[in-house]
Amino acid sequence: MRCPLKGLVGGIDEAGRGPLAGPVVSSCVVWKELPVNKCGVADSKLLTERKREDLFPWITDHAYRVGVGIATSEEVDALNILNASLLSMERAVHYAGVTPDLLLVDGNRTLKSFPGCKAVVKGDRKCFYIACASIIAKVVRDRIMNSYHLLYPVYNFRQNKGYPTKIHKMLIGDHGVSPIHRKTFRGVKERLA
Amino acid sequence: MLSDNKREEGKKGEERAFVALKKNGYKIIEKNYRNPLGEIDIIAEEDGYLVFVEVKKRNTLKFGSPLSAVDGKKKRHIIRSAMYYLKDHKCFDKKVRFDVVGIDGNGVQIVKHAFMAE
Repeated sequence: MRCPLKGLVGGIDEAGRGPLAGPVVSSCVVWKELPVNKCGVADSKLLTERKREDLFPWITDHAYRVGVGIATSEEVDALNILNASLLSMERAVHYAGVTPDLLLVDGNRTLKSFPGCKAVVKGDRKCFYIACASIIAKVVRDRIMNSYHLLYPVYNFRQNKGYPTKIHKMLIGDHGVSPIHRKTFRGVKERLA
Repeated sequence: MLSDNKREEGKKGEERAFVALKKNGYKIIEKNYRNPLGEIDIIAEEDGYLVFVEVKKRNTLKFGSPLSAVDGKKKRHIIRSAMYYLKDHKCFDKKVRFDVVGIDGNGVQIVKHAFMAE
């Protein structure tokens, strides 16, 4: 995982494309220079929840700017998941409050509105900047889903975070659809009255 | 090419939609917004949302209700130009919603959250 670059460099990643419920959350983390000690930052999917929670404050303390953008489940239904995640990314860059010289995006799509934007396929594994963004996005989304768990406890969002686990699908069958379920997703659509 | 008559009718429909939206508490921001990706009939604010409104007028119900006149292709165009608008105006602090105003012989009907994109 090496990407030494000059100037303001930002990484973007999103969390929550797959789930049947809840928002899609993106984060844009901008660095002035690469920190000497990377403290074990890796792709959010390779870390435990505990490790992500530990790295979260380290990133917000050491990064130059951190922006978080959210697109609600309602917006996911209205715009489709791809457009909604792009919207959440745009919001994340907006709330970072700076224009980085280079913006690295996970995946194979760039933000059209942003000229200094480069897509890095499998960037969450390869690139420190994107890995940091993936951790922030994942932690923020998990915290949102934990709060939704208090509001709609029957779906056990604290455990499944809205992802289509067997138990989650069963619970949708038992209790119907909540206001934060994505009504256009397969697995939810069929359950609408 | 639309005849003058048709265009006149379309304009009248949009005027009626405009009045109905205002009466229902919509704050109109733009009418007939155009960008390289398409056109949006009305852009408004309501209940904390930024709302993109498509106006559909039908004289008869022979071809289905006004709502069914917004097909997948039309939706894609509206969504794309809405995304363009959001970036262009840096409106990232409001939730986004799509409404359709249907107009037929019986009157004006506002349908909120009209889009459920697949």
